[in-house]
Amino acid sequence: MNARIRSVAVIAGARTPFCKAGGAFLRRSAVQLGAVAARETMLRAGIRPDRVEQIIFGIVSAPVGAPNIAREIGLEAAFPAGVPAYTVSRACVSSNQALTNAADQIALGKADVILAGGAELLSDVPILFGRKFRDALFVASKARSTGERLRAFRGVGLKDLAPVAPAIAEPSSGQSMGQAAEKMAKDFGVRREAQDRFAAQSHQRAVAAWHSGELAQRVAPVPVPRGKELRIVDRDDHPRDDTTEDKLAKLRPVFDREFGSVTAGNASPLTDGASAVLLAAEEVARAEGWPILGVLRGYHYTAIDPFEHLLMGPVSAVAGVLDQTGLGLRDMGVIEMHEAFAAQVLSNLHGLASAKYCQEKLGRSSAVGEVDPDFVNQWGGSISLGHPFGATGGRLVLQLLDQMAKKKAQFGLISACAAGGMGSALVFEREP
Amino acid sequence: MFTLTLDPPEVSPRLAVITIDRPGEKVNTIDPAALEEVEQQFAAIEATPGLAGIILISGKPDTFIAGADVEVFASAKERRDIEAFGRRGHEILAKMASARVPIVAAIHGACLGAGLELTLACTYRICSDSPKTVLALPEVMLGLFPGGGGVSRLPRLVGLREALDMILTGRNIRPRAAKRMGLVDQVVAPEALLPAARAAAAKLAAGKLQPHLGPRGDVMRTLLEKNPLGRSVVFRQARKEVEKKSFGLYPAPMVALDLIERGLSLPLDEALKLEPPAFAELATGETSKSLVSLFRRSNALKKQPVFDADGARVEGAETRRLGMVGGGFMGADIAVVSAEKGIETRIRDIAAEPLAKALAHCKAHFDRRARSIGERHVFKARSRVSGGLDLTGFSTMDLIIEAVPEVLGLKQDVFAQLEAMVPRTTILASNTSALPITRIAERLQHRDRVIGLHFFSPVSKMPLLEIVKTADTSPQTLATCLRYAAQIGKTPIVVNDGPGFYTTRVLGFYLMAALEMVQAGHSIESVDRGARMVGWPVGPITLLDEVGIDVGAKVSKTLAAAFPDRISVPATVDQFLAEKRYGRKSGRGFYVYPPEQRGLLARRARKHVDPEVYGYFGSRQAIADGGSPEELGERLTLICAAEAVRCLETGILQSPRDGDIGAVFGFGYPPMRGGPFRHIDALGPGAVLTRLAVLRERHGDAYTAPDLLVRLAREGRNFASLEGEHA
Repeated sequence: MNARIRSVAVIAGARTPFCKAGGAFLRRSAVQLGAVAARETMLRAGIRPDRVEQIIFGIVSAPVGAPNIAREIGLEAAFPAGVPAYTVSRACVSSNQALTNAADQIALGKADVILAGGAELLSDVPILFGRKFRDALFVASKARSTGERLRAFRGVGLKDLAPVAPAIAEPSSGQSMGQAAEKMAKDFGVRREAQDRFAAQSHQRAVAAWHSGELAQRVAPVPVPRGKELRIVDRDDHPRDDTTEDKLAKLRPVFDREFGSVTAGNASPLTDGASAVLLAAEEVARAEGWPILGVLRGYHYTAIDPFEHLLMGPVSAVAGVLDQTGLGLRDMGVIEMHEAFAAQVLSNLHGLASAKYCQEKLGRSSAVGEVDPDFVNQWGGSISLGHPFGATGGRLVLQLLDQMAKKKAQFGLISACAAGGMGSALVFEREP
Repeated sequence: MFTLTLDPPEVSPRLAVITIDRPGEKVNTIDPAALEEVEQQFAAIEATPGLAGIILISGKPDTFIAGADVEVFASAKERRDIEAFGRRGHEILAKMASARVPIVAAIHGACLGAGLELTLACTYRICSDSPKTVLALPEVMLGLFPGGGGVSRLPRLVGLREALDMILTGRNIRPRAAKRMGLVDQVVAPEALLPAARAAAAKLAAGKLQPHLGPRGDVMRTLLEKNPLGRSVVFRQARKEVEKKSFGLYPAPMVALDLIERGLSLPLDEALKLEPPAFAELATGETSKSLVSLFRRSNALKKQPVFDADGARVEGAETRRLGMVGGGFMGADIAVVSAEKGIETRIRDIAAEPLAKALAHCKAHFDRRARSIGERHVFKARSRVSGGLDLTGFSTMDLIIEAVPEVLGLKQDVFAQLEAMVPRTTILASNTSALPITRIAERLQHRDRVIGLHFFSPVSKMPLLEIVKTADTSPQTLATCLRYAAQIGKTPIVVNDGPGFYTTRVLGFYLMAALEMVQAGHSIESVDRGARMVGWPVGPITLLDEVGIDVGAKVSKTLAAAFPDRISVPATVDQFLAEKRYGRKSGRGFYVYPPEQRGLLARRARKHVDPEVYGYFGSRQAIADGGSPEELGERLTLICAAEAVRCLETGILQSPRDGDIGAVFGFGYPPMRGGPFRHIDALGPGAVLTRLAVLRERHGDAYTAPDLLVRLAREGRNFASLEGEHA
């Protein structure tokens, strides 16, 4: 086994527009969206697909018939059939996981070029029946006579036919994401006004970034059916320039109707979309003359007790990656944080800045550091741009690197929370 | 070509497998030597004791047998040689048909012409369910008929109407349709073909399976086919159809009809005897010889070599990635045709709407193919086509074809943009129909990789690709484009640069002449009919409507600028455009195209001439009796041929062969003449010269004879003698 560990660079990347679930991408599939992101990434890199040695994709709601979407994406996007592919799942940081897996393979010398991405199509979540009806269907499928088939449904009542909507809640604690955000808002004193202000800012910034072309440069057009014809979707459809604090203030809290502060407006929406990033060994990229958008300096995954504060994972993850790289928050020229909820981001920032929290929960001697909420997500975030679970990590990476290029920043930090009480953080470096 | 494999004696039932594999050729064809071999094989089989059955199977990957070797007719000196070949074939097929053991044909791939006739003499036919498997009798397209027993055996097997359809149109029959009509007995997966054939042979030998002997009976069949009165109705109708379509210019369909009709009233062996003499008669006739020569020459063109300055042969590179810049439906069609042959294609359009339309067009094509051959055979081609709104990634293309609107400045901009971003070796091609490639490439630094690739619409059906080279185009670029043409199955002609190149220029003069005739007072119907009467598949005014008057207008302006003394753009053109009279695409041009009617009682809407159109031809006086439309057709054809000669004279065309193929496959020059140069040779250059002089007297300078024609007539030579002179 080669003992030398290589440095890994991001060469190119692209994403589809992010669209509200049940909307523009209703008649598409996660594979189709992933294929657009994958093909577009290769075109932007100006590299032929036969240079790619592996494809790794992340997804949360894998389609029942095609759980290994990475393989289907490779075939659908006309990559050579000889490129192996696999799919990972770590909730909202699935594409982060795909990326860091790819980076590990390259670092160890097992491959030079890997395409990593993520996709999510929440418009097509499989409808589940209750256990009783499902069991009856299974028995019926093995029946050898009509009589036997009919007998399988004995005891199945009308109420057993009702579909069961998959809940976005923790299997262990039964707590939903929103409920977790509510608890954090209360425990860390994050006020309603601060959440609405943060959410409105997310929208204003996203609209401005679209207007100035910063985001458009990363987005590939997707053809969608319109009757018998097609139309082209080429913009994120959630950011709105008329979203103000006043308007958001009118919304009713969803998860705690009496004392709550988390609303639909200051939370990220259910979204469809895909993203992809092309990674290569830095030494190979230099030899080939490929553009180096950034080099991965470090990454860290953490897990905390989901029964406590489900979405505080980013705090320990950020602390860990800073320790690893020997850098501080002040060294970061750009910070991108996934906005599952405004309450969650603000709680994470509170945790990072609180000596008490860092001592009690992380066992550290002091706070990690302070970050002004205005410094984070300067081109908009998940609340306004949308959050296709599996694809957000890719968007964060591309948005981070593009901002770093514009500001000529040397270091950038990404943080994201994930269901199950996990956190992910990555640090990238750019040659100034 | 026929390899015999006998089962070991202990195997029961003991079968013989004959594998058909012509050495050194991509496809199997039948020639006299093959017939002798078949006879020997059968003799060997007859001599082997204990054999229960015979299987015929091909050793080629995608063809069963593609037909008789065309060289046999093309090179035969005497009628009786062809007749002898036919009789010999019949002899051997008769032996097969009366063999004492069952013969099973296991068909995978193309089973055409004499190949299909061979299987008709077998006891039983099984074919594979593959997109590559097609059965057809295409002889009519070469001015012949299935003279290896097809006209006698096929109607008895599948029924009269189905046989007429197959023989008169030559169309491809796919596996499932073949089974439905009883042409084949069984359809199986390709990998199961041999085991299924073995099982069938065993069952037939044991008497457990009855071969299919005749068509399924139903009411229509009894009414129309099982009695002489019904049959005469069918034949009368068929003759009417043929007459209407071919104006008596193609004798083969009528001969086939006669043979089928007479044959049905005779016992099979008597019917078969009628075929060889009739076949030989057609094969030595001018029509068939012209059509066969088109077939042979287009095959030769597909293999044409390229040589560099030192005379060394240049091999073209394989195109794996293609970039289309613009192009609407034509760009989409080129993308689809390329994707189906393994080339990944990226379509770029500048706006979302046209891009969506182009991609929808591709999708509709793939959906249709999927319904016909199954989605799993379409998946890969579908995955190869994608689209975008910018030129990102075009640096990874091997070949880029530009198909933006026909505006010189626009094309120059696109090429300049591309040169700035693609490697030195990327080939930049233009699909322009008339703008000189040299001018499009004016602003480029590296012009050796610039070339014209002129496709014809609809791209999936039109076999011609006109490749236009400039003085700068390198042999490597040309060789790669010829290889691309081979990859996508097109027949290429290589011409030199000039306004309108070859096809557009000649077509332009031809259409101008047609419009002049209308201006002179002839009716549009008589001009169009006149052209069809002399063999044009479509009349010129109809053709102009199909191509689009807007397209025609742009082209005529380019030609008028290049040939100011000979072409002027009539003012009417702009008036037409102002009124959106674009032709079929806008519902009206010279003709009106009534919208399709829906519903049970809807009749097929037919186009008719819009009488208002004559108003645009100022100072036109209608001629009541302009003489025969046929004369109009003859004059138009001469104008076309004369212009083709000028293209050869000035070096646009490199050889008469290119001109013949380009004219027939590019814009429908009467195929049974074999092309303009072959046509002039058949009439005689001297006779054509004389005729042109007469027409010039009567109708003006448009009928001036080209210098090359004058020279050839004076020297007593013809165009065939020029082959190989212009390199």
